[in-house]
Amino acid sequence: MKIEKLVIYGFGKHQDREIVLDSELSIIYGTNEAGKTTLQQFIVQTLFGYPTKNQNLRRYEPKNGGKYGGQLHIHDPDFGRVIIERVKGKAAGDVTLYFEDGSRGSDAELKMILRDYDRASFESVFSFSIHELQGLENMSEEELSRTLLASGTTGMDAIAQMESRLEKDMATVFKKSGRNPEINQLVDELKSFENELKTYRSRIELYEPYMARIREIDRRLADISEEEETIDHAMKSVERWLQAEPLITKRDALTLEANSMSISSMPVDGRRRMDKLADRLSETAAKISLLEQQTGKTEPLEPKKHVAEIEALLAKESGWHRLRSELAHNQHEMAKNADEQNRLLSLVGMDLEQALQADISLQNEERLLAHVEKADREEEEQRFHYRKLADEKAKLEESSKELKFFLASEPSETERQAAEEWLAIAPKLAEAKVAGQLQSAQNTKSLLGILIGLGFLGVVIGLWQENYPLAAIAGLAFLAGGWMFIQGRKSATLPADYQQVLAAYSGREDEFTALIEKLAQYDRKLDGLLDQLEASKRKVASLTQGQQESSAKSAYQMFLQELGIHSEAGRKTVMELFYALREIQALQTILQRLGNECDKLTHEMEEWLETASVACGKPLAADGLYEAIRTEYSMRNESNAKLEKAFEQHNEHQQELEQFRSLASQIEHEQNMLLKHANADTLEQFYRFCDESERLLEIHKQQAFLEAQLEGIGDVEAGLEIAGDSPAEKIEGYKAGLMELKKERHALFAEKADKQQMTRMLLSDGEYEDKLQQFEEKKMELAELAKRWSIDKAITAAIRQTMDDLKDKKLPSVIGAAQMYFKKLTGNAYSSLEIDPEGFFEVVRADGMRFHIAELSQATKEQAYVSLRLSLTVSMRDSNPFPVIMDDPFVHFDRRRLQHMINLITELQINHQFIYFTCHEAMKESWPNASVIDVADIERSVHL
Amino acid sequence: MKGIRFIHAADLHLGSPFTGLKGLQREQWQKLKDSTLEAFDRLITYALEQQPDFVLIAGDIYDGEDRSLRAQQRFQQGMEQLDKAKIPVILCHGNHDHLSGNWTRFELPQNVYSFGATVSQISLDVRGMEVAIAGFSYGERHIKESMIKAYPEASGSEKFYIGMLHGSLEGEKAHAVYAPFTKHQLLEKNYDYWALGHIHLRQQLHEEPAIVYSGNIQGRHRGESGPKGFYEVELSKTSTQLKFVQTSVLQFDDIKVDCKDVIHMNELLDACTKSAREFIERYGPGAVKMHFVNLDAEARELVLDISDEELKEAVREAVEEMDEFFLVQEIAIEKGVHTAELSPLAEEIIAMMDSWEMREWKDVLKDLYRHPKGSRYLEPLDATAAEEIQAAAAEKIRRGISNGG
Repeated sequence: MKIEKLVIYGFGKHQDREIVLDSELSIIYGTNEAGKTTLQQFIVQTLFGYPTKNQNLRRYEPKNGGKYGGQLHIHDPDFGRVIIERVKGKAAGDVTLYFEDGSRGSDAELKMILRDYDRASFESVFSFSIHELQGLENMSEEELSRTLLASGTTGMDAIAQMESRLEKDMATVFKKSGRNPEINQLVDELKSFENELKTYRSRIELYEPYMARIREIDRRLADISEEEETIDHAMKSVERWLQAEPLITKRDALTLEANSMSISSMPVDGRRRMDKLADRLSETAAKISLLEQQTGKTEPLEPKKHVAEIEALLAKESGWHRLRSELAHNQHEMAKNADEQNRLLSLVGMDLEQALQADISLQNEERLLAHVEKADREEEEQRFHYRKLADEKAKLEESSKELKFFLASEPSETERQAAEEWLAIAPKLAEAKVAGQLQSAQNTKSLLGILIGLGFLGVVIGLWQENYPLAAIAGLAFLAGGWMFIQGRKSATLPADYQQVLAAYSGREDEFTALIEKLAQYDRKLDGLLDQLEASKRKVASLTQGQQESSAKSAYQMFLQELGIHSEAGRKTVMELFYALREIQALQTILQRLGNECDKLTHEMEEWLETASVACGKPLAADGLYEAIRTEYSMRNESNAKLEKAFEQHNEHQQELEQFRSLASQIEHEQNMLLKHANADTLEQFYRFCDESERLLEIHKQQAFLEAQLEGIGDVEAGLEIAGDSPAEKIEGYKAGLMELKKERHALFAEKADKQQMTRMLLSDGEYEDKLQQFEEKKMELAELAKRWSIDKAITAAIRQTMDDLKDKKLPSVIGAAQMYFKKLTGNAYSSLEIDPEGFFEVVRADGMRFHIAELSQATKEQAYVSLRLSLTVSMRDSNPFPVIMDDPFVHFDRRRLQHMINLITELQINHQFIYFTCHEAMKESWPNASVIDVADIERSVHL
Repeated sequence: MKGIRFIHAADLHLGSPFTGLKGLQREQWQKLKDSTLEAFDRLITYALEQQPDFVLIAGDIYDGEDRSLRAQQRFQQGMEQLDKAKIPVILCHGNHDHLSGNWTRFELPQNVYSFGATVSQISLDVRGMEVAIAGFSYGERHIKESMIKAYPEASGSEKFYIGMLHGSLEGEKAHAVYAPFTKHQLLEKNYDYWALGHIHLRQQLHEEPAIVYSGNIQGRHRGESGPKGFYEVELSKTSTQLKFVQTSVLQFDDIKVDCKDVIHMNELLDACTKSAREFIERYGPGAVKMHFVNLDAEARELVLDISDEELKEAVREAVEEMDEFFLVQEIAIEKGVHTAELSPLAEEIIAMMDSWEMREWKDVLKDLYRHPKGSRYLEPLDATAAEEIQAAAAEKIRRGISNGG
């Protein structure tokens, strides 16, 4: 594949360029910043796509926003002439291929043309700069051979990708010495599973020994039961003996005792009966002595008290009370009447004596009334007379006051003169006035004007409206106005006296008229007042003269004196006093009567009191008399009852005493009977016999009881007491033995239960099986993973081996060629380029010295690298016929070596296209027949 | 002449776990875990119903190390049931329950006769007929030497001679060598029946006299596929009738899923459930490897488009709906006629693996198989495993490359 032409639409700084390349060698020259690298990138990126944004490579999108992209015109041995066009589109750019036959293609076809090569592979072989050359020392055989192999084999990429993917996968599945990969983890898990299983298994192994132990325990338990039975038996017999032994001893003792006793007959229930009799006897004796004591103590009896008189008094109680209340009532009445009498006496103002002497008969009363009437009338007349006199006096006084007041407003002397003058002047003034009036009529001109105007207007309106009456009236008015106007013009002058009068009195006519009136009035009133005064004086005088006498009054006063009443008292009062006197006398009578009654009652009560005092045997007061009587009465009754009771008791005691004495003798008789029956002489003897017989009975009972007990205990081995330990010790021993066995049994039971539970649990425990299954599952997982890993491992191993094979076949020829070029380039200074056993490059100098590539000088190192690259390129001529793009890689070469280089390339360029970018002017001159393209030139000249 | 009727069972492996099952739900596991015990119960139930003259158990009643007490108890209870039914049981211990193991043993009832570590012969009276049974139990884990020579030859034709032997045919490569014997050696003894144990695959090595492996009563992993059970044998001097009685509760197997015309996922899942249903109807619960067959280009695209794990998950979920337990352990996709074109390099790589001998395989995988801790839990790498890996690797390369890598 050779690039014939670059057509740049827009790429970096280049725009609308067309650059034609030589089919063998093109030197592209440009100073720094001229855009060489841009051109180089244009070629690479057009072939392999624009870098995407996340790649770390530069995009050359035009900054000024022009069209992005361009074409490469190539010629390929397999595909002929093809135009590869890449423009802006998707991230890597949109590709269109134009084939010679007119067909088009895109990415897939481009990929074919590029022989599945990617950018990295391309750059690693066909495109290099000085920087890449310097990296050679780090390249291992492995990488080199990869590069080599990559060059020749299609499908390599896929395989390589697969390999790296598998390697990655495998790393997650298994690592020889890892922890995290799945298999490694799983193995650890399996390990722990296994341990768990071991634990389970060892637990299961407990089963058999446990079962054996359970059986053993069962056997031992049976033995224990047997042993226990034996001990129990022995112990029981000892116990029986221990129980029986004291019983037998006792039985024997009782028999002995019974035999020693000699008792004849004993009355049935003798002791109890005897006791009872004795009890009764002592009780009776006690009662007798008590009764005797009581009767001896009784005092002599008093005689009874009398109550009959008192009872009679009590029967008359109400009489007494009536007496008392009557007396109280009378006394009360007396006091009331005395009070009334006293009140009236003080009203009358007389002492009792006088009052009683006054005559209060009805005739007297009538006389008094007549006197009173006469005196009243007389007094009435006198009063009327006095009132009239007082009136007249008041009138007189008023009249004189009025006169005085009137006189104060008497008109002055000037007024009286003025009035007189006025009476003379008045006619004169009237004349003057008339004259004046005529003159003053001229002064009505303006009025006339109006009258004339109105008249005229009225005529006009009347005529116009044909209202002739109006017109006529108006005409009249007009004429009148006119006439008056003419009249008014005449003026007359008045006489001088007239003018004088007028000046003095004109306008005061009313004033003077009023003054005259006033004076006249005054004089009239004065006369009236003086008359009035005189009349009043006369009347008073007449009234004062007519004084009257009072004869009736003195007669009345006389009568009163006779009566004893103060004569000055009013007539009404006198009547009342008269009535009061009458009442006083009546009250006196009542008082006397009441006094007599009271005396009688008091006497009666005293008698009563005396009777009572005698009856009660002590002096008594009137107040609370009957309470005292009643107390006395009940006291007496009580003491009488007591006496009665004491008497009865005394009789009773006497009777009882008799009874008890006879009872005592009977009891003594019975006692004697009992004694006789028991053949006892004394009571002590009797009781002793009783004790003995009871004891005998007791002994019989105990004997029977002991026999029954002995029977219950059963057979008792005789002679036990003789052998060995004491029975108690023996029992202790047995008990201890049993306790031991019991303890053992408990322990065994507990153990058995424990073991049984464990074995049962082991039997029913499914966990072990679960674990086992899980373990198997894990193993399966492991197997699967192992298989996965094995497959991947097999593939990668196979890939590697295949690669190695290829390398073995291919590498030597490449190295051989490289060695040849290297020799040439160094001018035979180095004889050989080899790979050392570690897989690194080595060179052999002409003198046989070996150097690792890193040890070489910079230029020599670069020559070695160039040799390898060129050798690779040559070896790939058929499979990957790409142009070689170099970016000034030879700057370190001296002239001689550069010449060697040029010679070599010249040799190779026949078959390979070389595109050489340089900024060194010398370089472009060094190539004899290269087509040199100056970047600066194209910038200037070539424009589409 | 009258004959005898007995049951020949072997390799009960009671209570031993399932292997190769992964990702079971807890309830699924609960259903599964008792399946060996259930299978054993079926055996006992059958014996109680059918009243055979006796029962032979040719070794490996349980796995020595993994035995659970429950399993042993169950066995003991089974034996007691037979005892009550007066059915004698003759058993020998195999390599998994050999006599020297220091594990718990249950006392077995009187009807059970257990052979000792050396070959011996016992005589049974079966309805007046004498049956001589010879056998031995494993005294230890490994019996490498042949025990057959010690078996007494049959003498006289009155009795029935039966040999019980837990071991493998000489030269059998797939199994480790245990008490090896040859068919010829057995036939030489002139026995009427050879009741063999140890090999879990049911098989008859010889017709008359019958030399029979009854196989185990319940498969425990994919390797033990198909129906499992025991033989009921009717033996007369003239003929031997074998009747296989299935006991397996769950069956491991391979089933095919016809993917013809499958385009969409739900069609594929329907096809899977259909196959599963057919299987369940025939065999009951199962754990299977599904083989997708008859895939056309679209079906292939469908299944290749999703990862194995996803596919398995989807199919599992689809068949989980079944009433019976049904587990899809693995899915295999039939190779297409048109495999994607591979680059010469990829072909070269596959060829490279092809060329590897066992030695090289071991070398390649040594990192894992030499791992001090991990290798213990792995099955040893053998030719079969290597082949499997190779096939899977090749498939992976093909798919990896053709999927555009």
